[in-house]
Amino acid sequence: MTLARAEAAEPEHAALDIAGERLILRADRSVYWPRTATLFVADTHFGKAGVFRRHGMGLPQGTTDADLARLGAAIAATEASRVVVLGDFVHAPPAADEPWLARFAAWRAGHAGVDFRVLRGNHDRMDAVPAAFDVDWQAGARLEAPFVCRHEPAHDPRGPVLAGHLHPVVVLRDGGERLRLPAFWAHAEGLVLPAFSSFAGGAAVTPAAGDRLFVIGGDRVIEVATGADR
Amino acid sequence: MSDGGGRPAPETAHAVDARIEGWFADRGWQIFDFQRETWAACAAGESGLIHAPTGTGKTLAAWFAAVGDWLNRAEDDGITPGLTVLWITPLRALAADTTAHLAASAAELGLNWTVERRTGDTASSVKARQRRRLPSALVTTPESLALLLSYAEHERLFASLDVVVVDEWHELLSTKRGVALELCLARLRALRPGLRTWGLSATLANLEQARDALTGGAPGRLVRGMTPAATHIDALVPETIERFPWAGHLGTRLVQPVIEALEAAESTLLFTNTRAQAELWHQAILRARPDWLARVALHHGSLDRALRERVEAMIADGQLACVVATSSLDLGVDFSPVDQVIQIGSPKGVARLLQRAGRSGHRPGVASRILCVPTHAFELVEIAAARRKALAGEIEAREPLTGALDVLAQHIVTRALGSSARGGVSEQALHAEVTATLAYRDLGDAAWQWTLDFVTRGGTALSAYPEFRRVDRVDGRLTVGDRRIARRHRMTMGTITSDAAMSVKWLKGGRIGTVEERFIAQLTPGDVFLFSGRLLELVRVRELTAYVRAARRRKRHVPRWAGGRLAISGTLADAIRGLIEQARDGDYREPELAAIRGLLEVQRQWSALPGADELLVEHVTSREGRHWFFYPFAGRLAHEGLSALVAWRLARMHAATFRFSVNDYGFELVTRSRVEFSAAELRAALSSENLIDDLLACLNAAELSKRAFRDIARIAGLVFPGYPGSHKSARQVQASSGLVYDVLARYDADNLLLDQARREVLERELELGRLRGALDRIDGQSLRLVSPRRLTPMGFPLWVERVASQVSNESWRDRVERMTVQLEKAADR
Repeated sequence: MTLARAEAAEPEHAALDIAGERLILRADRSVYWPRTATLFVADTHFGKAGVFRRHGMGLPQGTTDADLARLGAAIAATEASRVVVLGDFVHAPPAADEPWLARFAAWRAGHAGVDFRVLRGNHDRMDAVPAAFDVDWQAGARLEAPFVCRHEPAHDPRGPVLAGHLHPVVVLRDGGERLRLPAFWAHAEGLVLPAFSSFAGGAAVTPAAGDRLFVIGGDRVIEVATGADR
Repeated sequence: MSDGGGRPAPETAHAVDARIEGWFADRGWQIFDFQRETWAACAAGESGLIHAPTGTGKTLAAWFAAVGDWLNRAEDDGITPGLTVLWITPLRALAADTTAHLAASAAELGLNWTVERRTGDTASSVKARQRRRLPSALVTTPESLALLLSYAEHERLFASLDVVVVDEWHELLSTKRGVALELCLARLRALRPGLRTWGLSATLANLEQARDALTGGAPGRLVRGMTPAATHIDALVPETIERFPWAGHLGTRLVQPVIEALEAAESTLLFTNTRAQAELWHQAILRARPDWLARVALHHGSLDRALRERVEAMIADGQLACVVATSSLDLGVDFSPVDQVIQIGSPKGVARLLQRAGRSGHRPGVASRILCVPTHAFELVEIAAARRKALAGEIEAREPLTGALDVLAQHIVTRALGSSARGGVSEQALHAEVTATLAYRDLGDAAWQWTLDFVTRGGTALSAYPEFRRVDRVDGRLTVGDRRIARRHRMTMGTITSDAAMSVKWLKGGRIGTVEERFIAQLTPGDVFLFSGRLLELVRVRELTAYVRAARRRKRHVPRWAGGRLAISGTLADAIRGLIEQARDGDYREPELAAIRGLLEVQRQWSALPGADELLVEHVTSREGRHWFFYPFAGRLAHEGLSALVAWRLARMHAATFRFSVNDYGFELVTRSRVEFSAAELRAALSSENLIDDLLACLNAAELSKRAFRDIARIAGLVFPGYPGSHKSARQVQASSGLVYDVLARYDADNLLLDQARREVLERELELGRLRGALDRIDGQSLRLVSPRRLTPMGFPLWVERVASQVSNESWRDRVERMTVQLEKAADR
């Protein structure tokens, strides 16, 4: 009744070829582009649990640290020299004394050799981030030829769009069980990444004919049938 | 009349106020003994519970107890008194009707009382006025009462309260709403030490416990109300009976005889167990009698409230020939014109059957009658079993819930909020209040401290919850300082009951009703489903609204709403076991048993009819593999746990993977592996040793707990469901309970709310008590292992259940029908 779990094996990633480029869809929810040594992530929502706590909802600390550790591990594993965050870097504009700010700055100092760019998403409602972040902070779309990076998926005549925003998940059913798994969604206009944040929900995708879906189950990325072609 | 113990009944000493005597005399009504008993007891300062199978006179007993008490004590100087009587009703829908009744009788007595209601629907201007001064009698719901307690004025507002009446207490008793009400009542008692609490309840097996939960364990009296002259429970026996019944097809085959029964009566309430079944029967009746379009109505909990109220008014006016309803009409409003009640399908429990039967012939001395329509052959046995237990007066118990920390956390915030203007509530005083309830009488100190930490710090000091703000704790006093938190708490207080509900709206505007989010989640745009008597096509889902239009295609998806999977009660299961043993001994006196004699005889010849002292296990080999059918008769929820447990234990003896299916009578395990199990091995798999550990190991306990956590997270304030017209920024603190569960499990694994989720899964979703009871019973039974050559009449429905769940399209029906034909042929030989 349950999906078999690969025990302590090497993570199994998936490869996806778009516009003559090879992208690696990683089980840690990032996308690696080997030719330019670029790591893409979307929707990190840093500081989200803290926002909940301030509003009186008892969420323990730990998610932001865990996500930073995961991002660090992805950089180490791929030896990426650039990171591009496809929007919703923060969950809400942080208060000046928000504890995670210092922790991010420290993490960033530990990865000082990596070029770090953020495309502002709808949650990133502030004009700048602390200088200690050493982050290129910009709005709008960004050309990484042949790709176009955006927060929200859209058609772009310049090339396939790499985007986030939707937090795609796929619901798998097995008997009475329902599994919601984060997914990469490749469609006619480009690729939508799953939310990188481990404290982010998702929306079930409705794929069109020809789309491809790759779900993340534990340490594996598995392509699943979309059901739209039948 | 009193069955409350050895105290002398004070009724002789108590003189009923002349105005009340006159009120009854004016109507030519007689005062029942139980009403006098209640009045005398209330006047003597007692609390208590009035119980009776039907509604007759209970309302007047409680109302005039309170009014009479006031007349005796107070000087009726014509000045409208402040809040004297608080009337709690579990349903908003009942509040309007109750308010009208109470207000009318107060006026007829010449009292200068104000009688008003306060529910979620009350206009905010009225609410604001009520917060300055409450009426003499207030009709409200548990949620609205809790909300009132969250305001600083509550101490003044309730300062003159004498009597609280809780209507339909049995409905609240085993729910978290009931627990929340117990806490509110404890608060009121702390404010008004002489407060008397009276409950109105249907008959239950555990009346003493029900009373103690209501009175907070203070001594109280049990008053038995009017019992109907008799209850006639009959089955509509079909002319032909399939020997291989299957439950999946919601058979409306008996629609013709049902139409005849409808034609013979003035007005009929037709009850179904599920909303899906209600929709199907409503359609089937209209197809048979299109001319009844204006005289047949549908009533269930998903329909828009305005529509339901219109239907209720039409029943009361006698305009309808038939109302097809679910449990939404089990309660409340008196429908005098109804002269017939029909139950579609098994009632699943004795109490439910009697409650529904009591909806007709609402007059003392008149027998109530219910006609039960089986949807498959075995339901005839269930109907006979329910009648047997009803005649013997054996009715199910409703166990009060205890120790729910989510409800406690919500209440602590409410109390802190209600006392913030006066420097907060003292922890000590609050602890005394809380532990005065039955629900938290045994609350351990660790759990209490944890819950305090949860609302003041987010969690314990052992896990980090920086920046957390909710309740402030200074010098042993609790307050809420943040206005936003106060506001959000009040917004979420009413949400104990609601499953995430989605509105169903026309694309062009106009609301039709609500359905569970889980149902809509099964559909994709373009799917067609039956709702509110119409075929609708889902167009899109936006936020919490499903937009639909009238469907043109006929192909439909029958909604599977939650609640469709009601398990038979233990009381009923006992009687079913008894009847099957009776059939084994050749005793077919019960007409329902005689009607399915053919089926039972095939079962006996091919396999066996089990006696009460044996557990029947059938082993069948087919092209699909090896099947084992077990029949513990413990209800489908307990069988879900049992089947997983037995499969897991068997697989540890010989490697095999099983698929399984369950129904109320038993469960099936099937495997493709070529394994055999001896009777000794089967028995070992049914052992009650290591039960909890094995259950948690074999079930996907985390997934199940997550399901239970949905409610817990909402009640404890860990998720915020949003509210109508909420500002967009509210969305930044929205997260699914599943996500919250994962975060807690990972970063605060000792969080007691996770524990509570596991406990609720075991106790409620798997009915651990019954599961254990079944295993204990099996310990004392002999195991009868038989190997029939093909599926038996008892095994067949389980096979169908599994086939239906495996195959998602309609082809399973063809498969089932093919199999039925084959088995029938074999049975004819």
